[in-house]
Amino acid sequence: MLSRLSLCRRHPLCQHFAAVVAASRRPVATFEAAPVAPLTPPRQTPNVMHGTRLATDPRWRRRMREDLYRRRMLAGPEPERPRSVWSNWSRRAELSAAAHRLGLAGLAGFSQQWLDRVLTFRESAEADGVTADSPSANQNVSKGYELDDESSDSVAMATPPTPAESMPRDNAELVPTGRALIAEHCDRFLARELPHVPEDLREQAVSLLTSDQSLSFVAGHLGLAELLSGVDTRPSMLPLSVEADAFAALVASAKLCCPDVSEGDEAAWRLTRDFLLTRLHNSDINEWWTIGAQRRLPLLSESLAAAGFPADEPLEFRLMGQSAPESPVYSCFQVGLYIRREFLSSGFGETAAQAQDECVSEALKTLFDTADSRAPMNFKLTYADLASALE
Amino acid sequence: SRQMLPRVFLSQPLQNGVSRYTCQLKRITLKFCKFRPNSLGAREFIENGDFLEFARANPQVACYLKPRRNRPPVLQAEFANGSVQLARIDSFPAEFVRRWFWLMRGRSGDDLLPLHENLRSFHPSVQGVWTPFTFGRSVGLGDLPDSRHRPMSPSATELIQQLHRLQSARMS
Repeated sequence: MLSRLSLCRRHPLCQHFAAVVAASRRPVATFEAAPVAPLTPPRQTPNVMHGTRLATDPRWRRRMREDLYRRRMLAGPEPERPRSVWSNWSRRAELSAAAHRLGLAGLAGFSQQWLDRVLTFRESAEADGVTADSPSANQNVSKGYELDDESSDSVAMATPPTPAESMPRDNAELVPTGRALIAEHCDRFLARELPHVPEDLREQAVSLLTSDQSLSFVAGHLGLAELLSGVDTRPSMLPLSVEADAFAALVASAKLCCPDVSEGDEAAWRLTRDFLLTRLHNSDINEWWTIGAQRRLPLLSESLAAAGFPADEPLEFRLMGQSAPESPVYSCFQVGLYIRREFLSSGFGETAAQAQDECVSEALKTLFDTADSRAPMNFKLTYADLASALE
Repeated sequence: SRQMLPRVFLSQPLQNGVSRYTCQLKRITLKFCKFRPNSLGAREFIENGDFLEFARANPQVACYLKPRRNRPPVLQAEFANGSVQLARIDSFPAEFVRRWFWLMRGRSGDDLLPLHENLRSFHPSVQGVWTPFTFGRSVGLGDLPDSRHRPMSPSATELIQQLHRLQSARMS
């Protein structure tokens, strides 16, 4: 039996509409790249016709809408394209805006060309060859008219650009410098803010902070992912390590572009502090490291020794309170840790053993000064304060 | 309404504002038609110089103009967290277009969803959260049956015992 929809498709108005659409089809922004396995379109159109039934439409128009919806679903999703293929893109404008957004526009020796090179990756540019047809070349061609507003340029880039000889061709050398610099910044900051935390735990926190995932998160939120050249900037094709390298190169460039060493140090430190280290804000610092179950009691003894308690002082665990101890569901035990008859910490648990474990964790937090009641971290530190604190 | 939309907690992308404030608007595109009357406000906004004023005042935002024939005017704002917001400025006066521009400049790009609370703190308690043991009491300890517990109505056993006592009293 013929369905009503097939009757509609043969309706002259429906066919006319399809012809009009085909004739007026505009060229869609295209992107030529290595073939990527496309997202498979759904084999069957879904049953729910979302937003296709309007009570005010006549029946033939309703069916036409439903048919168009079904065709669109069969055609599959839009191909993934980098932002630079659309006409509202100008690499010069984007780099200038990025420089201002990152607070680097005022630095002596910083220019748009420098930022361009900082975000250029070498391998792909050499391998593919930057030709007129290649994807990275698209980024350099602005599609429309650019307003060469001299007043805005003079506000944006006050200093003349660095001479071409001293400018690197890409960011290959900046990346390892930047990574080391970021790790050093994080380590110094945590050493200053958490002086009582042992080094191995601090290293765990630093490695989490400087991991690819963390740095690429920051780079993505700063808008660097779209500005990279020499790599495929489509989100599904861009590896995390590349984004992380972009941020690292940026930090290194902030330090190296300034002729004045202290200004460069301060600029690089501010990038790390304001974008990466603020991830520690509003998060429990104890979540940034893991203390194994076997390590807890020995660590407690070490910390107590470091805090000034002699090693032979016994740890007393006392039952401070209990509620419904016989009940399998509602039981609650409170165990307190006393040393030298002084209260150190307390913990809760469903069994006394659990409460004791919790008590040890709380004691470690007290000794490391990472409890909830500690003062917030100082994110207004300058590089001079950071360096002086360790001397 | 809160029954339809999920509620979210107050937050800023990349803890914006804790250490430094970064404008979250990356680029803004004004799409308009050069002829149709519903783009009149957008065209006036450009011709009056307000667009250039916005672009000069915000060097961190890349501003684009996109004339499109036979299409209604639209403002497309792209934010640092990757979200894109569209504002339909169909038949808006130039002043309203200007206000939409400056509104987008101040947004973070997060979806406009109802908040649980207008403030958020990861340390809501200064002295410590109350527990039943805060003031040193243990609860739930004791043996049953407890003489302090008074039943509302006599139990079946007690009823039968009462009847037996009455009967014995009558019999004797």
